[in-house]
Amino acid sequence: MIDKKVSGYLGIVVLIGCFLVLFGWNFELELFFIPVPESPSITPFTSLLIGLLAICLIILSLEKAHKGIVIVLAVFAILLSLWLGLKYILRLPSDIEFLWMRGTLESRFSIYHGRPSPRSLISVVLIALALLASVLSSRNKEKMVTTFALLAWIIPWLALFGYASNSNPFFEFDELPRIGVSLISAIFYLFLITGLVWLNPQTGIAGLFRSSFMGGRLTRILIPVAVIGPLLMSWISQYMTMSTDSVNALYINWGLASLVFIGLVLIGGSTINEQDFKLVKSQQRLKQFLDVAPDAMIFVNEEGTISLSNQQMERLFGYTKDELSSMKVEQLIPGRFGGKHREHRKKFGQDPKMRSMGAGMELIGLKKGGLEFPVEVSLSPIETEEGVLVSAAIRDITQSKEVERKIIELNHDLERRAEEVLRSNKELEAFSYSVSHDLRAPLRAIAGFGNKLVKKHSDQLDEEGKRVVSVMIKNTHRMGQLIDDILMYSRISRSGITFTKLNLHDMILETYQRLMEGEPERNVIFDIAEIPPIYGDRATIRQVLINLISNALKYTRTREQANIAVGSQEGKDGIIIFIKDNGVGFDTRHMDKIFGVFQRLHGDEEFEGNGVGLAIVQRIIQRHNGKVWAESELEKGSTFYFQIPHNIRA
Amino acid sequence: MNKNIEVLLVEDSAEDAELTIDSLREGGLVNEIKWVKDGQEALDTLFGKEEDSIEKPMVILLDLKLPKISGFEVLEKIRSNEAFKDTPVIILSSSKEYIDINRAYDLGVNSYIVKPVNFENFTESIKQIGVYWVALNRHS
Repeated sequence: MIDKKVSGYLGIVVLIGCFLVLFGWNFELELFFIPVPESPSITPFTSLLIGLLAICLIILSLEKAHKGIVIVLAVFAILLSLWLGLKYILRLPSDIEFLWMRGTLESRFSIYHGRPSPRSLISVVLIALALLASVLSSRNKEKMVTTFALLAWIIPWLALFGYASNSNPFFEFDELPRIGVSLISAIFYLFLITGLVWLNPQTGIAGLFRSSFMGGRLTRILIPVAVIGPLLMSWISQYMTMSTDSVNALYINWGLASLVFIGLVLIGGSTINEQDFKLVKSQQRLKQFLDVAPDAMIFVNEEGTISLSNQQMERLFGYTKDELSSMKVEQLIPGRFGGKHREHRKKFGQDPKMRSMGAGMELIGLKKGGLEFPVEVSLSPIETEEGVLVSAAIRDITQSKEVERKIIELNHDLERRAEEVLRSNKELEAFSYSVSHDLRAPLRAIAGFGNKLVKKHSDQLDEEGKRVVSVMIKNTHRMGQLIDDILMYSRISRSGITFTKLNLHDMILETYQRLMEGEPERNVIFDIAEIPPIYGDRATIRQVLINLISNALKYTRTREQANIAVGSQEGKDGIIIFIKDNGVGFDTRHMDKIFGVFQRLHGDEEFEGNGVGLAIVQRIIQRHNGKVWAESELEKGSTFYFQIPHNIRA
Repeated sequence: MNKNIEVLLVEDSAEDAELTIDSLREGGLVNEIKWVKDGQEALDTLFGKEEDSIEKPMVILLDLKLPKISGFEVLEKIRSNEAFKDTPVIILSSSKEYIDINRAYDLGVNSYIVKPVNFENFTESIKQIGVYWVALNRHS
């Protein structure tokens, strides 16, 4: 009894019934049209109208219904019925009602030979309207079908009660005797209406009847009671010793009571169903929400039993929802923590607040199969009808734990390396300290005793001897200078630098003047532009200036007139200072070498030096997050640039 | 009291000591110069092996990098003793490190001379300072 084929079968049964009625009339077989003696017969015309409606029902029950045919047939049945009803009012004699059986019919009926009873006509119109409504695609279609079907139900239903109690007042109704609704047509109408309602088994009354919700269940129980109960009572009442009038009244009462009962059941059932439907829907939605939640979630009652869980939970722990639903929450925790957890759970029950679980503790989950893994759990209480439930969101933190472990490991590594660097720095410091003391002492002795030799024993030395000693002494000086420079170079890398605002312009001038004191006979044009102050370390920047300007002086020594220009320009990443000379220059192919330690492009005979000066400059500028570079052309001159970033502030 | 030492030179390098003494003599210093080779010897000389025998030189020329007891330790001992509170102490060191220079001045030296490789500069400094302090002490 599930799909709309039921409607089709009912239609076919009715259609066959109609043929049998016509067949009966044709051959005057009374059983076919008056099954109950002395009761109204079903007229051939009535069976024709019912047949039309049955065809409509059969068509609508097909997969591809020809709605046009249904509309035509239903409208035709309505118009015919209205016309026949009008003939009652106008008291017109029968004509079309006879069909082909005029003789037979005229012998049976006094007036209105073969005309359907007015109640039949009303039933036909209402059922035809219900059929039309079910063809329409209106939004209120279901309501209209249900309304017409229920209205159409009244007349055949009351007729059925009359037959059941054997006291049909329609027999003698008005001045139109024996033209009440026949038992056969009443049953046909009820079949048609049932089929009509079943056309759409998902909605309307059929939907309610079939629904799995509470209203559906109620309807399924109460409708048979409402249908059969009063009918049975009505049938029994004919055997009571009562006057015909009171039996009639009783029949009417039972019939009406049945209708009211059916109506109440339908209304109540559908109302309850609606509520139940909403409830079930909202529960489903809740479960859907739970399933799309990013974390595994469970709801646990006060006894620690899991009452609800989501898909992530299945995935995380390996249990199905069904398995979880009867489990104790302690089964998701390694046994050794179980006892403690029970205590915590009780405490949480006494003071439920939203919080994360086991703050500062490593929480461990237990998968199906016994695998343990680290988790993070957030708890929050929910008041429900079942008491306070605790919702727990569980997150697998295996990965973040792993990451944490790696970070700690890397940090340890870093600390170890920093210690190593610190230690090697300390070693280097001790080393250079000892170099500065111990390497210089022998040099000083050589120089000192060489001096003594020249001064005190000059009479024993010839000119060549004196020259040899002076070369020795000169070289000890160079060696001393070299030691000093190397120490400075290493110190720059080690020691911190302090940033202050430097008046670079004055520092350059001062440096130049001091350097020129050593070479007063030189012919130098020193051109300095206005240079803005910079932020830097005073001592080391001074060293940069000394090294660059002294280089400019050194490499212009062969020039008749030395031109040295110092200026500044705004660079992309800071201020650029340049020192330009017209000296001997260098081959730019060796550009990459000039800032390296001990790298020299000129021989000692040409220009003295130890190849540390520019390396020191580079180190210092690098410590200022700046950069240094040069341009040069052989025999034309060189320009050295250094850039100090703006963003360095004291 | 024994005959006072006039100049105490604490220097572990024999060569440096000789050159230093040469320089002082060249500068015209005729006072007695006592040369000791390490910190322990210096303290022994100044404070004596017995409690009462304290030598009080007019000026102390002190190297920093010394065997056994470092120049800084010697300096601390000298400065913490009431008897040597005002005795001029001049550091003669190869170290140009600020940390050494600052520490020495913090401990109360009167002068700090970096021993350069260039001997002529060294001689000049020694002459000047040595003569100055000796002269100063004589007047007072």
